[in-house]
Amino acid sequence: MIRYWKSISIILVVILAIGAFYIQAAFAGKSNPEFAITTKSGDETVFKNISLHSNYQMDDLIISTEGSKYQDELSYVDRLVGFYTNSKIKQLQSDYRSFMRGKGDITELYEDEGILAYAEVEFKYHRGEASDFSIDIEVLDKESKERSAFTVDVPEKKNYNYVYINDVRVIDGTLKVTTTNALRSDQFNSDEVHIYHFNLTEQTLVKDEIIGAEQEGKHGKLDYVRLMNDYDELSGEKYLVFEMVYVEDINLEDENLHPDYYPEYIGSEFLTYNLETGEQKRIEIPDEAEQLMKQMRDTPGEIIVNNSKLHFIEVTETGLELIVYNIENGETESKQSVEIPKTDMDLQMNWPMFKIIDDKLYIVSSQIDRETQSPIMVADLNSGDILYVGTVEDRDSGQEKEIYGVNIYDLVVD
Amino acid sequence: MKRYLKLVNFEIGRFMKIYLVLIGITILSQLIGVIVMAKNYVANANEVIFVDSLPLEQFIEQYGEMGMMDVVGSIWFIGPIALCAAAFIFYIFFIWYRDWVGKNTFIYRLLMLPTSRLNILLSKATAIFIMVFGLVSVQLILLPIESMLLKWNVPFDFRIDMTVSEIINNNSYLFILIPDSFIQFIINYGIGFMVVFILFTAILFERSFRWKGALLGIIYCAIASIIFLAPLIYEIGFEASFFYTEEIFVIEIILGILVTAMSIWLSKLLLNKKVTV
Repeated sequence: MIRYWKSISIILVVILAIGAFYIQAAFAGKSNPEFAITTKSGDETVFKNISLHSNYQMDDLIISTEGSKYQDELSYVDRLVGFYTNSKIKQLQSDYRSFMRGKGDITELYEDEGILAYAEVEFKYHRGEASDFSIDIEVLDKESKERSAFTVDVPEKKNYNYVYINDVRVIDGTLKVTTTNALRSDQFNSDEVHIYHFNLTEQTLVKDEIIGAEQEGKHGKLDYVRLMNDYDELSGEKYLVFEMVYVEDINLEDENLHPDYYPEYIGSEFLTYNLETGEQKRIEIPDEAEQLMKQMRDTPGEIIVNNSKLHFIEVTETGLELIVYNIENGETESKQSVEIPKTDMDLQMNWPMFKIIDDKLYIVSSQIDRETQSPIMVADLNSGDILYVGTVEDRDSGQEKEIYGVNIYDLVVD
Repeated sequence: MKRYLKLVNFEIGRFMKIYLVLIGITILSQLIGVIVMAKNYVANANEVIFVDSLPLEQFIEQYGEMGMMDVVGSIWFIGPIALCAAAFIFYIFFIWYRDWVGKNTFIYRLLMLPTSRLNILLSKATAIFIMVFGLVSVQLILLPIESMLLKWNVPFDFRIDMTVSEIINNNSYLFILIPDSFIQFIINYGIGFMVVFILFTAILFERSFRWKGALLGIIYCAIASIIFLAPLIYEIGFEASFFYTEEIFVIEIILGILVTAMSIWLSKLLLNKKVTV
């Protein structure tokens, strides 16, 4: 033994130092506060299936009514897989493991009771330029477990710089892929939004529509077209709604202009696309909504497409302005001011998030501080009344909460 | 077994002097670094606050507080770590080639030992592993000492105190050497030791076939890397993501073990059949 003293002493030091470090790390852990969503008023069931993707002092965590799940509590492999992986994607991956290989983007997926469909843009990348665009389509019949796949070249693919998918839907055996295609041109507005129709039984491209092609902008120059539907919605909506954003029509080549000058926003138009009939329609939104739209350039707010209705939401000094417009009959369904107590109006600074779940509007503060009284509010869409109020509390320190600086990234329905 | 342990001890003993010098340089440079940096910071603070009469708060706003993160990012700290890393990369080769140089080639006696020749390879590898872990341990022991030294030299209002884990987690290269999870630690050093075995095999190729062997060794390194990285090469090369992350994880562990085993087996073959004195 004595002869080995050099080796033995090194090994002893190694075991003691590295061992102590990792044992200490495993046992001490970090005493992370156990945040949980608690109901302040109203029915607690509205908070049961939601969770908040958040961050507290450098740590990522998910807060629900059950408590908190911190990223560093995950096993090594779970951490590799990812903490915030979309729960819908997770579920699809476990249900249809083979089909879901390499398909992680929720915007490229469609699901209903019968099928699961997927579309992806393929292209060649050479010397910093993408070319040769085609669309790969894969469909899984849930009942028979049969898979079919085909690839179709993007028509006039030479004209595009890039093509990416906004949405995938299947209606009566026709798969409709909404894409944004950037034109290979130096012009100011060079994006086109297309809807490609694929016949799934014959595996062919049957139609290539351009959104808003015939629309003559009533004001200014078309800047861009944007799909407004929720990106992670897999099916259900009858309409796709596009916002066409117009800016002032000026010659950008004018030498008197500042090189960074960006043309000023003039207004938006809304275009609905009926997925069943394929009809494009420009809709006349009420003046109040148009007014809200303009203000929303500077104040927090959002436009949400849900259940064939457009919801215009703007944060004001006293609460929210909420206008619900029915796409089906073209009428303003309701116009509400949601009153929010003065103490909670720090919402305005905190740029809240909005989600519509089961005909209720969820309003979530993006930052929760000690002073935040009602970080989660649930309002009735019809009456504009705040029905339920939820808060985030540190369970360990009891009711006398002392929390600050929880940032909320997203509200997720499980 | 006893022969193997004897050989390990022997290899460690042979490198002990240089090893202790490396440790000495590390300790000295890092401790001196803490003191020098702390003194400089305090001197600067004194000058700015008393001579230029800048209020304390404004000084901190402008120059920031002093903490271990400043020390850890300095050349005093990184320098010796880089030196040790370079020394060990060199030593992977030196541990073999030094047996061949000199008049009475030592490798002749090693190969004549009444023990499996594989033991020679394993003992050399083990010696390197133990000493690398030894250096990591020295760093782990030094960190709290350096924190303490910093506390003695910089007044409370001017410094940020950090725990050892916080210091490590805030520094990207320390985090590779000492990751926060033990599994990651095993993975990092597992990959390191796989590389050591691959290089040993390449060296033995060279020792067996000389110039032609050197070429074979390089080819072997390439083949081993391609095998180990195959899933990633596939995913990037074909722009296809076929595997789930957890599958890649398991496949990589299997491939890593496979490449290490293949290297050891090939080395054994070369040592037994081909190596020339």
